[in-house]
Amino acid sequence: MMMRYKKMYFLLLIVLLFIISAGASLILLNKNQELLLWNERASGRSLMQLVILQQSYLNLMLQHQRGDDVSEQLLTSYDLTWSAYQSLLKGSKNAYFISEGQRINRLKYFFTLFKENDPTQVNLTGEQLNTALYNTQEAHNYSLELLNHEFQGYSRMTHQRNLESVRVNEIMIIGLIGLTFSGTIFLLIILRERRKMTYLAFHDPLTELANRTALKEKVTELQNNKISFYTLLIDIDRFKAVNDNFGHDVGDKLLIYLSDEMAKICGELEFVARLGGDEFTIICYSKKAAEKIALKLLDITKNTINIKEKNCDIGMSIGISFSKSKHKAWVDIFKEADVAMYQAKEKGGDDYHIYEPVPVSNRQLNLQLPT
Amino acid sequence: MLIKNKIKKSFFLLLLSIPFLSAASEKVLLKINSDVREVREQYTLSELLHLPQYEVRTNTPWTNEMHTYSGPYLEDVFALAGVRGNEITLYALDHYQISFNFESIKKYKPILALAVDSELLTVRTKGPIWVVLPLDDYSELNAALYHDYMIWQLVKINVNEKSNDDAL
Repeated sequence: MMMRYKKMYFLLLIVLLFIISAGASLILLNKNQELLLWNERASGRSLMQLVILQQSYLNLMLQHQRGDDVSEQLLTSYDLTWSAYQSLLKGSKNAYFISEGQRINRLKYFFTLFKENDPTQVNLTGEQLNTALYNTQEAHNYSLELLNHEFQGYSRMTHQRNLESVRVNEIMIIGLIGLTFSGTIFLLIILRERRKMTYLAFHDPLTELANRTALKEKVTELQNNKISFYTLLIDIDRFKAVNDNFGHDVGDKLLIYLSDEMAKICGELEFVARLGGDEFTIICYSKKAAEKIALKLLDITKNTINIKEKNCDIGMSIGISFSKSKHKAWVDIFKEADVAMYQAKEKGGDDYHIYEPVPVSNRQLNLQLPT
Repeated sequence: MLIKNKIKKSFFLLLLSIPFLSAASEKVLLKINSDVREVREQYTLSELLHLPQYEVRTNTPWTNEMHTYSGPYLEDVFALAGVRGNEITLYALDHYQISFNFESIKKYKPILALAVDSELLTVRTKGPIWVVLPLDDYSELNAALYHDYMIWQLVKINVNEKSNDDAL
């Protein structure tokens, strides 16, 4: 009972580990994706545009001051610079420098000064032109300062992002290890359960010998491979008395003892199975081996067997049948062994008998034998 | 699909543009060149406004708020010019230029925005033509790569398509 609880807790723990690992891995995968999607801010380029366009506007104003006819270019350049200001101010949400309110306010201030000297509204000559030149130069210097600040911010963010990405990946690896670990444990548990199920399907739970299903498989396999074999059918004499007098506990212990002894007698080649109750079967491959095994088996019960300080006086009746490679159905093979076994029993037990095919003329008589 | 592009009855826009049309209808807004097909097309505002107008409602990295942009599909303009937009180079008034394969963004139906919130674009407001992608409808478009394609103050498009002879 205690073991079962422990197993339950262990399983619960593994399931928990699996869920946590899977959850963490998924969340971090998402986080990693977010980090990868992170963009260079568009405002960096807008700032660059402002610096370049303002510079060219300044140059045109200087040409205009010298008296060159650049009025059309000046107007276009003014509009383009205006648009660059707008990109920054209207998209300020995406800029780094907005984090410090003073900077955006100064930029707004320069834009106001810029708008005051709109060449489509005012006549850019004399003192007005000097003021416009001075203001634009100031604004230009300031936008250069902002550009530096922006790119420093970008570097800082990139660095932070890289560090975070490394950290996320580290944690993700731990998550994946957890996943692999719990997955492996699950797989092992499943495999163990499967092996247990397969073992139970082909083995007798009491004696751990092969069961009827396994025997059937073995016989089919031999027949398929066209291998002839001898079948020993063993019935324990007076076993019922042991059960009745000493109880099932002793009976079971006796069966286990007998199974162990039978297994010891048989080599690697032979096949031992418990058919049920007090009936056992051994399969071997020569008459000599069959008889040798039968004699050794009879040796086991020669003397009384002591189980739990009870002397169990039992014997064995063994029937042996031969199966040619192309034999009938497996029940027929055992029917013949069964006939031989009863012949042994009839003679008083503690003996073995080899089945001999009854001549056709005697077959009528044979049918009357007990089966 | 979440595409918010819809055919817009451009009455309002046309009404708005009448004063501009009368005064500046002769002014060329966009040139489309293709050496292979010997195409030298020039379009004025009224010509572009005569194409079906579509709306894109989206945020952009250069605007804090969502706006509605309207204008013809870039695809339709190419069809009008009789070019197949493969490798294209777009030029802006401020000398910005960008080259890319149009096929890579064709499915997003970019428009040549002529107006924002029903007001015609000027150079000061990134006009007269701004290539606008529906950024809010496709999360994958939210990358610097695609932001670069959204050229404003567009004046010229060079189409570098392969002729059939080359293909053979």
